[in-house]
Amino acid sequence: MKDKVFRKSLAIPFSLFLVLFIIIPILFIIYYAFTDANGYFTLNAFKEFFTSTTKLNILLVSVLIGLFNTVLCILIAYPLAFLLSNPKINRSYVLVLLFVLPSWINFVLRTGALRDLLSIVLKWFGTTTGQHPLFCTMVGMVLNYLPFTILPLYSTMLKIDYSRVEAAKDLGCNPFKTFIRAFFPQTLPGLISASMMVFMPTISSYVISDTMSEGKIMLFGNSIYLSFSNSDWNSGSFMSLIMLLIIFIAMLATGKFQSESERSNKTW
Amino acid sequence: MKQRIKNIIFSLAIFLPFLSSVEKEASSHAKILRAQSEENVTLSIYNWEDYMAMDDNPEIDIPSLFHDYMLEKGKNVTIQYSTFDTNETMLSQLKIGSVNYDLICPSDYVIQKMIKEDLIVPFDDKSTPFYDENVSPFIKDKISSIEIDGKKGLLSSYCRPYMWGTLGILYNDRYSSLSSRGITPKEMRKDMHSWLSLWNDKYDNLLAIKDSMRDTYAVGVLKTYQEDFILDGKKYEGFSSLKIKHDKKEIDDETYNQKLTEIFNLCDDTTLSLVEKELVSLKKRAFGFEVDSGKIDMAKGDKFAINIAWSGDAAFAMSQADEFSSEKSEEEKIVLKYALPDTGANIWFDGWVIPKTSQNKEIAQEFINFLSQSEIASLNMDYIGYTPVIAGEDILSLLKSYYDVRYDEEGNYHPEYLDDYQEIKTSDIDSLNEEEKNIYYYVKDLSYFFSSTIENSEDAIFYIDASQRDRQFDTQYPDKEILPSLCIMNDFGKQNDSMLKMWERVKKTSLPLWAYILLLVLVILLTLFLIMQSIYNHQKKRRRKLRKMERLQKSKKSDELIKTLTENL
Repeated sequence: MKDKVFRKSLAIPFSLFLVLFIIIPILFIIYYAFTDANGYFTLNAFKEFFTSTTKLNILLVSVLIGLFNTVLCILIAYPLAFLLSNPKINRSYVLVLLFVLPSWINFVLRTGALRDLLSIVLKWFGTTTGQHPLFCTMVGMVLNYLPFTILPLYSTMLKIDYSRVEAAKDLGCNPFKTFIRAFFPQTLPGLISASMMVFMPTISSYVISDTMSEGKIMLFGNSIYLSFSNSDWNSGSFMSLIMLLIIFIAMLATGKFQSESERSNKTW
Repeated sequence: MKQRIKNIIFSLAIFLPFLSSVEKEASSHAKILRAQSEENVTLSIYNWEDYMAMDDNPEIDIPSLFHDYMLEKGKNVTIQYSTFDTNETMLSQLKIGSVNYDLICPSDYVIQKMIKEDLIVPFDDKSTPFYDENVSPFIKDKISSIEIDGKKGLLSSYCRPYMWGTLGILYNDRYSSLSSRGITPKEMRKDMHSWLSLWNDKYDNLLAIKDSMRDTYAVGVLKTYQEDFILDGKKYEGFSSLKIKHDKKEIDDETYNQKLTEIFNLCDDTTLSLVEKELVSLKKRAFGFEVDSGKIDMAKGDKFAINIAWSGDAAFAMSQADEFSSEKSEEEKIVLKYALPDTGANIWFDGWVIPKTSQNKEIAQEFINFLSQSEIASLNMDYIGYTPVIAGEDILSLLKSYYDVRYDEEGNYHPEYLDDYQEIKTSDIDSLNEEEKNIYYYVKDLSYFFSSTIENSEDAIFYIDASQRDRQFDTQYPDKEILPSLCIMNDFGKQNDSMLKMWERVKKTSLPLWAYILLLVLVILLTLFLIMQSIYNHQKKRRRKLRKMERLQKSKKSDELIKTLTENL
């Protein structure tokens, strides 16, 4: 009994943190999203958001860039994580560290440096960063979020049960089928957490798109920032709420996959 | 052993900062003890970043200078200094009311807003004698001409201006890709005196615009209404035809400025949509948007050649460029220049206001008075690079020592220095070579700024080296001839929301068609996938059920069989 009480008390610091810095702010956001400047209840922000083609367009662009970034990151990180998790190729942790190392540098600094580097490279090809805002943003995004994709994939691939792969081979699967049937399902949890780590932050990020696209590409995060910086708190809050909603939906969708894959793990 | 040494070093490294802070505390403790007999006051100031001389050296540190100044008056004043980065964050901070400030330094249009919203209190009459004595008559007139709700002169009682400047075009006429485009430096210098050039094809991708709604809107309006136009059935004259009229002396300076300011401040829905079109096309031509990074990029000279810039930033960028390229050869040097298009440009100021919640109005006024001493203002100007509204002898002699060819670096007058020079008109400077410029000087009359604050108004005439044309000094103090075309931009009031929406439309990224199609296909695929999966799952369940039933039936059958068998037995 005593032990149980003690264990429960261990959660106090975090619950305090949770209430103070997560729940109360969210309540504030909800309050501002449904009130006007004088604090009266109104659905103006709601109406404004769904009737404004500008804001919907910005949301769409952000989702597209988010998806694009997720796919790119995974396409690059998946083979890389496979290589790193192979003990024959990667004998120590150093190689993994090399890929994660950049994320230890402040990302504003990193982005600024990348912008300068890219402008030098593009100069060789006779253009400037300002002429290719989408390309530069994507480069910035991929480079920034790659470590967050590699790590979860790497850690799931370390735990892979290779007897399944061998069994699939022995039972006559060709390499492609082996991969699809025996290898890929086992990496699904890592894949999902990696894409979650990339997709949502991409939509809400604004420093990277602002710096890399020379301010030409406006993501949802930039739009929220613009509202708040022009003291239009209500529509800013409503947009943050939409953001939360998207996170929620994404969590639900991935939760479905996750629980399924976990179930399949348990059966093993 | 090695480990132990390591530990000792490590712990020392951790504790050293504490040791030094103890020492500091002790010394400041002594100061407080000395002043304990006097009244203790804390003055909290809310200012822009890097907008006041603050240094470790107490001789050029304004808070400690003010502390000493007030000690003599028997008050122990400490300054609590905090900074903001945009007017809007400042305003929302103030409205929340989490912190009480005694002095805030917002921009002109925000002060107008604060007066309208009744957030600030006026200064007492004659509470700032140094300010009254030293403020430039030019600024004073400009400010008293601003109307708020139809009343003039409110601003002069509610605020004490601090720094002022213009919004113009900073450019690099030696930028690398200019020659391949066939643009000569001379041509560019001429072009940069018109806002229309920013929309010219030849400067595509060479221009960075401000990522700031008001400033970019100002540029848009100046382009949109260049020619005569009709708005709501009323005929207006455009910026360029007004200029022609003014040049012909058909209208005097005051009416010219009034008419310009009226057009410049138009922000009805029709104007907004016209400006939006211009800004969207400007965005397509531009290299990109920037707020802070532009000055350094310009100084490095490798990203773009033209930047819309505030005068203070422009002067800063010029000095930075000089510093960066101090070791380069004469041809490779980056020499930035600043132009104010002569058909009209924006003039702005930041001023001190006292919020209603302030408890220390007396001390706040005392502080403004202190800042307005010519000597302190010159210290500030030297430190931060913006132009103070304060004139007076000290500022004058600082400027002379910097820029006038007849003065040496200590500010001593040497009339014989002029023997090496010949006079030239400002309009002729452009036809000179770089080498020739060193033997010419031009005359710049700043009496508009200094008159009545200095004894002899002839002192305000400067003789400037011709190579300094359009450089720091011209940036900080515009020519007398251009003054009537400088307009103040007012608060947009109710139109602010529409303006914000317009700005959002300008900034949004319009996608190509294939992107929309791709998204649609993706969504359809995803929903199809989900539906298929649920159908598959459903079928799986059904099959499982069927199998179960079958099994049950089978077991039943076998049970029955067993039963019958056993019964038969």
